[in-house]
Amino acid sequence: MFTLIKRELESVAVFLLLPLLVMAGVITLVFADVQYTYREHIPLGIPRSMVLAFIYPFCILPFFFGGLGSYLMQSDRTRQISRFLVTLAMTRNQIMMARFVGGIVSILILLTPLAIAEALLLRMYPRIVPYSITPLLLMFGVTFLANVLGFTVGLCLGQQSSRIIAIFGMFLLLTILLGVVLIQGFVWQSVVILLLLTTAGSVRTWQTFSTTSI
Amino acid sequence: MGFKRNYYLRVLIVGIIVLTATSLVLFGLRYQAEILLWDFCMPKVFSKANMEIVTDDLFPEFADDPNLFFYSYARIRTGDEFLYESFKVLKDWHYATQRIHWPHFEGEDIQGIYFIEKKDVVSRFIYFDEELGLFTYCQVNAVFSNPEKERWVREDLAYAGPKGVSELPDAALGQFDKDRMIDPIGFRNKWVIWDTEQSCFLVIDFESMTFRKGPKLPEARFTDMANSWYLETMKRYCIVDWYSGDFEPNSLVAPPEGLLQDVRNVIMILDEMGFVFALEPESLKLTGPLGRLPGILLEPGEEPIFDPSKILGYSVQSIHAWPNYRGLLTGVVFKDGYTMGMALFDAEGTQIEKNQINLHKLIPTEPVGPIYYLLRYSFENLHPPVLAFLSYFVADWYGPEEGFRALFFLPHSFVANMACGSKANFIENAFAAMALLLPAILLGVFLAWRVDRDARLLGVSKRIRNGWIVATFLFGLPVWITYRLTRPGIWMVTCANCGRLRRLDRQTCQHCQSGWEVPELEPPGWRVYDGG
Repeated sequence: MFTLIKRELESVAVFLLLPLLVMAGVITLVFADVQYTYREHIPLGIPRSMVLAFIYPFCILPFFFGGLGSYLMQSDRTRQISRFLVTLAMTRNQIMMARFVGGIVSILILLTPLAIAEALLLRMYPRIVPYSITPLLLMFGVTFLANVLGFTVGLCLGQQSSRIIAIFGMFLLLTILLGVVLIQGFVWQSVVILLLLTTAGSVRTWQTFSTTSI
Repeated sequence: MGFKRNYYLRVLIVGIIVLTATSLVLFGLRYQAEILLWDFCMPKVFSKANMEIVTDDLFPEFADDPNLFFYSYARIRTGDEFLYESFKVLKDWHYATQRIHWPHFEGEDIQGIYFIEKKDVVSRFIYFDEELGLFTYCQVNAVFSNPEKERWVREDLAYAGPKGVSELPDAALGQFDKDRMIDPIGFRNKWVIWDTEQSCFLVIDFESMTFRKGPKLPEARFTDMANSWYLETMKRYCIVDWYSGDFEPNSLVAPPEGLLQDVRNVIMILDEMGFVFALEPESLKLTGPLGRLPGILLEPGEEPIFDPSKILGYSVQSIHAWPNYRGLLTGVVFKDGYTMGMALFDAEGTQIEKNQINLHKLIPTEPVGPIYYLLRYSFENLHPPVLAFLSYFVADWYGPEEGFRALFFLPHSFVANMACGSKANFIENAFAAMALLLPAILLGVFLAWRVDRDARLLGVSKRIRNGWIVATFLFGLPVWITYRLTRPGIWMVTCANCGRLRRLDRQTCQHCQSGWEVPELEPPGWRVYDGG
C-alpha cells in the first residue's frame, strides 16, 4: 500500500512544484505584512493578511487539484496503469485508496506550510489581547475541504471518456459547489455541506472505479 | 455490493450533489433578480415612496411664523449597501469572510475592545476578559529600538467586576456572565454596563477607580440591541435623518454619531420591547420611555407588534433645540428589507406621527417591478416544492440577516412571508401556501409523469418507479435531473412479439414478457372463404 501511495506521490510531484512556489511567495508576503503592521499598529486580533492569504488556497488550488484528479484518471485510462497494477496482486480498492491518500497528502503538502507560517507568526508577533483562534481554524478546515472536494470532483469526472467533459465539467461543477462558501462564509454550515459533498464525490468515484472495466 | 445497493447509493450520492448544485444555481438566479430590482427599480421606488414625516409639532413656537417656508421633516432610508450587506455575496473577499471576521480580525473595529485613548505609541482601552469574567483596563506602550518600534508592552491598570473595581483581579470583584450583560456603553470616559444578574446598571470610571451601582430595576429587560456596537451594525441597514427646515437650523444639535447619547448628558437605551429610555449616567436614574421602535402593523388601526427577531436594522435620533430636548425619531427596517416603519415622539414620549412604508406596494408600478416578481416567483417555484413549502414553517427560525443567505429553505419567499404577517389559522395558511406553490406542484406532477413514462419504457420495477414518482413530486427539478443522470443507458430494440421497444439486457420483453424466441403463431381453426 505504501508503495502505491509513494508511486502516486511521485507521479504528481512535478505538478506540485509550481503551486508550492506560489505558496512560498504568499507566505513571504504574509510574513512581510505582519511584520510591518505589527510595528505600525497595536497588534489586536488576527492580522488581515493572514486572512487574505487564503485567496490563493481557496480560490485557485481547488481547481488545480480538480485538474490533477482529472489528469490522474485520464492518464490511468490511456496508459492503462490500473490494468497493469491489478496483475500485481493489487485490488482496485487499494489502487483507489492510494490515489485518494496521495491526493490528500498533496493537499496537505501545500496547505501545511501556510498553517505553520501563520502559527509561527502569531507566536512571533503576539497579540495584546486574548483572541479566538476558531475563525482561523475554520478557514483552514473549509479550505482543506474545498481542495479535497476539487480533487474528488476531478477524480469523479476524470473517469469520463470525453476529456472536454472531464475538464469543463469539473470547472463548472466546482465553481457552483464552492459557491456554498461564498454564500455561507467560513462557518460550520459550510464545513458540514463540504464534508457531505466530499464524501458523496469520493464514494461515487470509488463506486465508478470499482464497477467499470479497466 | 449488490446491484440494488449500488444503484441506491449512486442515486443518493448524485442526488446530494444535484440538490446542492441546483440550490446554489437558484440562489444565484434569485440574487440576480434582486440586483435587477435594486439597480433599475429601487431608486425610482424610493423617490416615489412617502418615506417622510413632515411636521411642525415639535416646534410650535415657529409653527405660525409667516416667514416659514420649509417645514421640518424626518426621513427614513435603507443603507446604501443594503443588498450587498444582506446577501453578503461576492462583493469582495471582505464580504465572504465578514461573517466571522468582525470580532476577530485586525483592520476592523474589533468587537469587545473599547478604546479610551488611541495614539501611535501609547493607547488605553478596556476589554472583557472571558477567562477572568472581568473588564480589564490596560495601557499599551510601544517599545523602541533604533528609532523604530520594536514591540508592544501591555500594562494592566485596573479590573472591574459586578462588585467593584480594583488594581488586581480579586475574587471579591465577582465575575460577569458574558451572556447576561450588555456590552459597556462609553460615556465621557465612564462605562455603563447593564448586568442582568443584578438587574441594575453599573457605572465604572477606570481613571478615578470609582464604581457605582444603580437602583434595582427588576422589571427592566434590556438586550444586546442597546449597545453601540449593535447599533452601528443595525444602522447599516436603517438610517433616519432629521431635517430641521427653517426652524433655526443652527440651533439644532444632533447627537454624536453612532452612539445612543444625546446632548442632555443622558444615554438612550433600548429595551427588548423596543422602548427607548433615558439613563442619567451620574444618578443611574432611568426615565421614559421617550419613544418606541415601530412594530409590524398587521391591520390598519391595530396595535403594532414589536418583535426584535423580525428587525433587520433600526436607528434612533433625538431632536433638540438647544438646550431643550424636543423629541425622538425612531426608524426600523423589517426582516424582508422592503418594509419600514418610522415614528416621531414629542418630549413627553407621546407619539405624534408614524409612517409605515411597504415598498412592495410600489415596486409593481415600475416597469422592472413585475419582471422582478415574475422572475422571483419562477425561481422560487423551481425550488424543490417540499422545501419551499417547509419554508413557511421554518421562516421564523432564521435571523433577519441569515435568512438572505439560506440555501435549502427560503425564509424570504412569497410563501414564507405569509408566515410572518398573517393572522389566519394554520389550515388556511397551509392551503394558501400550497396555492402559491401551485406552479411548483404542477411542475412536480409533470416531471413525475415524465419519470414514470420513461421508467415504464425501461421496465423499471413498480416499487422503484413509485419511489421515483414520489421523490420527483416532492423535490421536483433536482430529482428529475438525478433521475436523468442515474438512468441506465440501455440500447433498445423492437420486440418481435409486441412491437414495442424492449431492453437488450433482459431475457424477456418488459412489456409482453416474451423471450427472444418468438413463439410460432398458431393459426385460428376457422377460415373465411369467398362466397361463404
